[in-house]
Amino acid sequence: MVDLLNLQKAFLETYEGTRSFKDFVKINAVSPENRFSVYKGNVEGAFRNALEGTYPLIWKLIGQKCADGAAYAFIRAQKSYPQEGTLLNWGRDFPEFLKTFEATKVLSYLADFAKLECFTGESLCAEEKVPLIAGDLKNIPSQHYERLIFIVHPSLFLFSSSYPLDQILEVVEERALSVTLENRGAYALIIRQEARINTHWLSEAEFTFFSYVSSGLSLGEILEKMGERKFDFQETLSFSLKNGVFSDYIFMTE
Amino acid sequence: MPINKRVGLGLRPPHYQYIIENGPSIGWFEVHSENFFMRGGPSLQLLDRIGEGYPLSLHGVGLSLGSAERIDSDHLKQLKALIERFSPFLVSEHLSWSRVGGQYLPDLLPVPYTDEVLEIFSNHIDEAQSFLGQEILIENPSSYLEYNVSTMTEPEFLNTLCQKTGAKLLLDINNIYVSSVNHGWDPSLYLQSIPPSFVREIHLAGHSQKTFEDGSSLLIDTHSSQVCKEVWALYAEALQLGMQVPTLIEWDTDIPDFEVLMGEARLAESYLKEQKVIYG
Repeated sequence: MVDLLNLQKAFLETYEGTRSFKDFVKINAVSPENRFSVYKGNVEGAFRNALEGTYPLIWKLIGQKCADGAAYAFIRAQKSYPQEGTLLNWGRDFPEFLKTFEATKVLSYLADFAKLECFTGESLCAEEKVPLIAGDLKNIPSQHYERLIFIVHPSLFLFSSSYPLDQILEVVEERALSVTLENRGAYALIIRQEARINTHWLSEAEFTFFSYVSSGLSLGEILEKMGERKFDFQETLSFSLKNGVFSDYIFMTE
Repeated sequence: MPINKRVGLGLRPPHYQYIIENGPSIGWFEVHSENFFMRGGPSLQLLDRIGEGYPLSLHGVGLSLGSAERIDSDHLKQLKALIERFSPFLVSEHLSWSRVGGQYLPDLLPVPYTDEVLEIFSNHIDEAQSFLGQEILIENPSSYLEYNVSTMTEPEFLNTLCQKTGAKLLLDINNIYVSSVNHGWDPSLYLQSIPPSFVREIHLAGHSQKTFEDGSSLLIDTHSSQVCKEVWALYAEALQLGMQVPTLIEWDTDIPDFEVLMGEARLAESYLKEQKVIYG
């Protein structure tokens, strides 16, 4: 008699190709290997579909054949199984894998583009919070401004790259037929508003400002750190309130 | 019309907008629970809207009641939160496993039908039903292999499970057909072995055939086509046996226009209303 845990471990090892499952299977017209192969195909297919669900623009950018090849290579090489019974959060290592996969490693920007797409998905599924609007701040006495700490909306993600991801996105989303990639980086702020994900492209100074806000610094500390950077605080605050960047505020204790 | 005379559809993303804009005449919708395990966002909001107009059923694919190890308490908590938010009229899971050593394989993997597994599965159902405060239905799987250590048939295992736990069955007629062809079972005998009082829901779907290099073949539960005539005939048999319960049309691969699904649903509803008999 085989106990269930050993049988299930044997199943996993057979899936990984390190043992055979045929001793567990009733023998008849279809071989145990063929029978097992259906489950292996189902599992790999579900992983592949989850990756395409998280990275649809990668599939569009490099084409289905190449993307499928990368996906199956990732699935077979990584053996990084989900630790939970859902694939919603699985596949976060795929962008790094694209840097090493033979057919994609020449596309040096691809991993960053995939990370951007991954953050877009995370933003879409983030916790619901009502964003702050300008009226929420109007009663704050001006002498408290320096101690103000903004809490960023749960759907906000910041991402910087040394590649012009905004240009690549324009082509993938067919807003431009082709581009000559500029030799510069890109700074993105990703946020959900209503049911829509917006990716805002920022200047380096604006990105630095939002990074400080995200790290929990007070407004006084942030403005001191920003120093001489070319940066319009009023305009950035107005942008933040218009685009739902903050969900709350607190005051730094004195 | 009572819900047990109504046919539902598996709710899938390509149809969300159509349903919200057109409010089609369908009895209810079923969703895969794990597709809504996010903390917020438009998917949950859309389901809120659809739930305002239709009864909902939650169908889980990842609880892994058939694992040797304990069931995942975080998974149960997320499922409970969904139940509280959407008040489904049915909650279901599968006679399968998908987790070993804390690692999840995303498929409905078969369990051997033994006393040991019956004990483990029963304990897990008890734990889940107690935590959720909710009866759960267990769906018979499509299977592609049988274990040589099994000591019970699948219907015997399911019936004993229901008797021990008070759980009820989601009988997937397509799965009965697929497994019967794959293992040489008699699908009518399978149906006749299940007490109708255990059955709370029926699933209908399409399947495909996979032929291997050596010429052998298996039916695969792909949910990628219309319900075949053999499965309609089995459905008619199930109704004649007294299994008049909410019936769902599932379609998950190569998803067609909503109207195609509605055509399948109307056909199922005509069976359900008339207990249509297939002759010949």
